[in-house]
Amino acid sequence: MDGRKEIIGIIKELKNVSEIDESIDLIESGFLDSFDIINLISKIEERFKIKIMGEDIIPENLNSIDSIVNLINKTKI
Amino acid sequence: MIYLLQDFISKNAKKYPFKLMIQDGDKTISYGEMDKFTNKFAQFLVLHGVKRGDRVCFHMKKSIKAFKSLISILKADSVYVPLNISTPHQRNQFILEDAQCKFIICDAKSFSKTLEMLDGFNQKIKIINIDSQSDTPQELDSLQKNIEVIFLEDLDKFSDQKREYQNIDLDLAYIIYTSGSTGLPKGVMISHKNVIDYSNWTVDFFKVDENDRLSNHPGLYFDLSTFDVYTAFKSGASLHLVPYTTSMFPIKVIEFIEKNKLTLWNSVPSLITFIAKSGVLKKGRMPSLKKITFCGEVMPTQTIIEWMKVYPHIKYVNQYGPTETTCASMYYEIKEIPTDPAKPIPIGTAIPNTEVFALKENNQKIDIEEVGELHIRGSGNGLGYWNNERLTQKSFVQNFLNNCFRENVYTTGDLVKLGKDGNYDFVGRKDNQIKYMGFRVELGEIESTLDSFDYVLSSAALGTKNSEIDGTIITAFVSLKNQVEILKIKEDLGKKIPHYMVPKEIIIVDKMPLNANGKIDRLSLKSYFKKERIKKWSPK
Repeated sequence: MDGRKEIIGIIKELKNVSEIDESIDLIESGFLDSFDIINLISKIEERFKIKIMGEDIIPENLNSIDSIVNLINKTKI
Repeated sequence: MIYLLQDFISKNAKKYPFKLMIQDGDKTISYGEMDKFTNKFAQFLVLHGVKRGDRVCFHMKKSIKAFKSLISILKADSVYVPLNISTPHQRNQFILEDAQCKFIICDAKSFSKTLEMLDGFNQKIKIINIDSQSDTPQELDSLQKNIEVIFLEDLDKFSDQKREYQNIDLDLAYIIYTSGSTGLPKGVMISHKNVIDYSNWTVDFFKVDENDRLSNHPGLYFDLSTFDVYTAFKSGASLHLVPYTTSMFPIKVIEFIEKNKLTLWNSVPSLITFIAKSGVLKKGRMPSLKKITFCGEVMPTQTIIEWMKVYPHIKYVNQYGPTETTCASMYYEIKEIPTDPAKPIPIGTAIPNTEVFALKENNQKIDIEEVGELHIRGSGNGLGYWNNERLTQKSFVQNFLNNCFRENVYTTGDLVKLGKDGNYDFVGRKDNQIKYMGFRVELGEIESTLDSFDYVLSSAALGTKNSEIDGTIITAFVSLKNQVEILKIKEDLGKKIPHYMVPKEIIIVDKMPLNANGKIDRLSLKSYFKKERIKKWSPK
């Protein structure tokens, strides 16, 4: 889906990286810190025009590109 | 009467030997177990050469073992110097060298990282592993000649009774390194008496007793932890170590407070703000929580409004203080929901046995509604900077208002305004120091590091407002000799300075704007920042 590309774009911009290693756990590996999480949520909400509930901001929903895509799809409904 | 910090633990071990002292996930330790272990381990340290006044580092993740190390170092009449295991090795090596540490304690998990950290370190050092060799899977074939490794063994041959201590309360308990403006961190020296006097106030004011359950969120290398560690140890309360990933997720923090039935939470304001912003504050949650305190940076008033609307029964206390005067020297209790979100939460007034005043440029005290530099004198005033008499003299000065006897006053560099009600408000800094997520950052240290890269022509680091976190982030403007990716600059910085000091935004400029004196024009950079954010920018 297009969302996937957009999310990769947001994270690349956030971290100033040209590639994202999709094999790693974005949280456990320390790739995303607390500042990044706050910004990532805010950027996703802005781009996708959704409101992510605090209860959904958990490692399982943010540890990979796929889980972030699922979170957005779930939130849209 | 207690004169030495380790006696807090021994006293509570006698009173409540089986009471929970520290919980780290599924691992726990009681006051009695901790007291006995550290009595033995302190003797082990002394046997292996630790002497009174020696600086002893510990290099491991925050855990029960880290606390065992810390207390044993005190019981060996020596001084603990916490290292941040996530910090670049080069910076930790600098701390070891500057503090002239001859001993470093690690555990089985941090052993190989400790060896890696010491790569290229050329002074004699003993690594003391708090775990046994059989628990530490690591080959020791190619050890550097200057390193000696000692594993924990035969601990039971030592008595579990306490040593006879030589220290007095004026002796050093710890040295914590903070960011230094010249590019190198500086070691702040704090005595047993400094911490005992501070915790006398915290236990009394927050009415903490053995039934309380406290969070421990900040790392031990961050002096904000002095609050929760010693408030708990003095009162016989339990301390619950917050895992790093928990604090990244508001709902996880709330679940952590509920699961551990915490009564007192202490952290930097940015985390408390993140929790409020994510919309997880709901009536009926966290029923055990009675007190929240925060320190280290400005607390957005809106955050307090959100919290107090849902949890009006909680006691909210803002603490203020630099590492140099032992965690906090001032406090302000927020008793009613603030009505104006634009009005800052005051830093308040001095804690007991402490005096604060603010001076104008002519060294006269400020009047109401005036702004001046905050000065602190009191029993929290530390002993200065380790091995840096020049800087100590500069920051710990004779009171300008008294010429009759020697008086140690700490000049904070913080500008404050005196309110009509006698409370002070924080206004800003006199210099280039900022707070990011509660961490104290000298922007000069970032600039010196950037300027040391051969591809950098010049650099300027600024604290800029960030609306997402309702706080300050670090932005660096860099002009380059040759083209380099921003990612590469961040990676190179990450090898030299802690991750929290690496600027979140790096903006490449063709030419750095200069003022009439030929210095980098920070005002121009700041005004640019307010207008728009673009990746490439040239000054007019």
